[in-house]
Amino acid sequence: MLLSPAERLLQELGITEPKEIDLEAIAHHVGARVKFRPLDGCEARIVGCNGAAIITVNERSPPRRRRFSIAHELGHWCHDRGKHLVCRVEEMRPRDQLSPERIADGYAADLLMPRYLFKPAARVYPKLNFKTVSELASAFDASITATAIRLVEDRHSPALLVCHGKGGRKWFSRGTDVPPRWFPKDTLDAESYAFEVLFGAKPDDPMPRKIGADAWFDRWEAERYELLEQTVRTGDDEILTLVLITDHHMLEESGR
Amino acid sequence: MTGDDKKERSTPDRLADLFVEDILAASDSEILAEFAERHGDIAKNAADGRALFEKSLLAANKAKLHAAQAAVAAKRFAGNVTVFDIGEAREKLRRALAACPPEMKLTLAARKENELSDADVIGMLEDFEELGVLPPRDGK
Repeated sequence: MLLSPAERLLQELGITEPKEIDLEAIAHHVGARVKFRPLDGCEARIVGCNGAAIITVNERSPPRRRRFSIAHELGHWCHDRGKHLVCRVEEMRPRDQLSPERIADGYAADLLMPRYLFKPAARVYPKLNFKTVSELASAFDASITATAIRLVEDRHSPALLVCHGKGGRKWFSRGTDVPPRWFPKDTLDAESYAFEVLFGAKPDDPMPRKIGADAWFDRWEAERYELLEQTVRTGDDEILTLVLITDHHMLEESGR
Repeated sequence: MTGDDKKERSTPDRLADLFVEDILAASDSEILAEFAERHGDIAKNAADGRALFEKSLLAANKAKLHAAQAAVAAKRFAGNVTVFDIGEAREKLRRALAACPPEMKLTLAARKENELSDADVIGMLEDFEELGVLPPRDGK
């Protein structure tokens, strides 16, 4: 298995279990010190000089967000030394361009959920749903969003992960096994269960539910298929939906 | 090795030389056959040896992690409370950012100075002092 820079660092420290991923110790090993203090403008920052760095993380943030912030700043430390950057550490989310922020996010994901530990752990769960996501997130002390992205992008099952706010779709992530013609609609379909969770204040879906694919995709062929969707709330005005592709015809490269 | 040296060498040394010459003269297959005769399955022995090496490497790597954890625990301390004039602090930070030459490899993955709150400016100045980018203030 080809290791990423973050994974090589973990192996250099003999890390063989998720609970050994001690980010402060890892930072120390690469010459960075982690401080926790209240920050007003951003989640975290890094100041470095000549091989030494100080990472400051907002102590008011929840623990898993703090972990992501440290890992993200370690990504900057490993990739962007010597550059002057503006950094706003946000919750893990896919970004469209190959920016330093995206590279740091990828580094953070690899540090928190290294594939050499994550893939065997994920294989224990035959079905992709938010119960699986939640249990893996607990094992790796990572956020639900970051864990769900990793599962979808690592092709646990053919799926999309879509994040919506009340103003519409914020972002989405699609496994590489799902053809790009399956592009989710900008706004939530009123027929979708996700709509009820976001606007109807319904509780999270306990399990994936069957729905017509045309509730999620604005394509002529969508009405032929059914899929599964499951939604959880990730903020006051934000939901995360797993859209699971169950009809193998949808995975064929060209539409029927 | 000269002829005179050879005469002076002791019997055990000469015996050792003979063994070495014998090993160097043998083909790979002869060495493997001899090994198998004495120690059994070659592949199993190689796998055992590799596993032992990996186990030792893992233990050495874990020792690095434990050393880092101990160092973090030792360094953990409450920061001193310092008093700043905020206008002066902002000016000092601005000058430090502008003056830092590229060869100093200064990394600043954070917000621009004018976007920072007073507390963030002060925190960053303290970090610069700790890293030696700025000299410590009098009384520190």
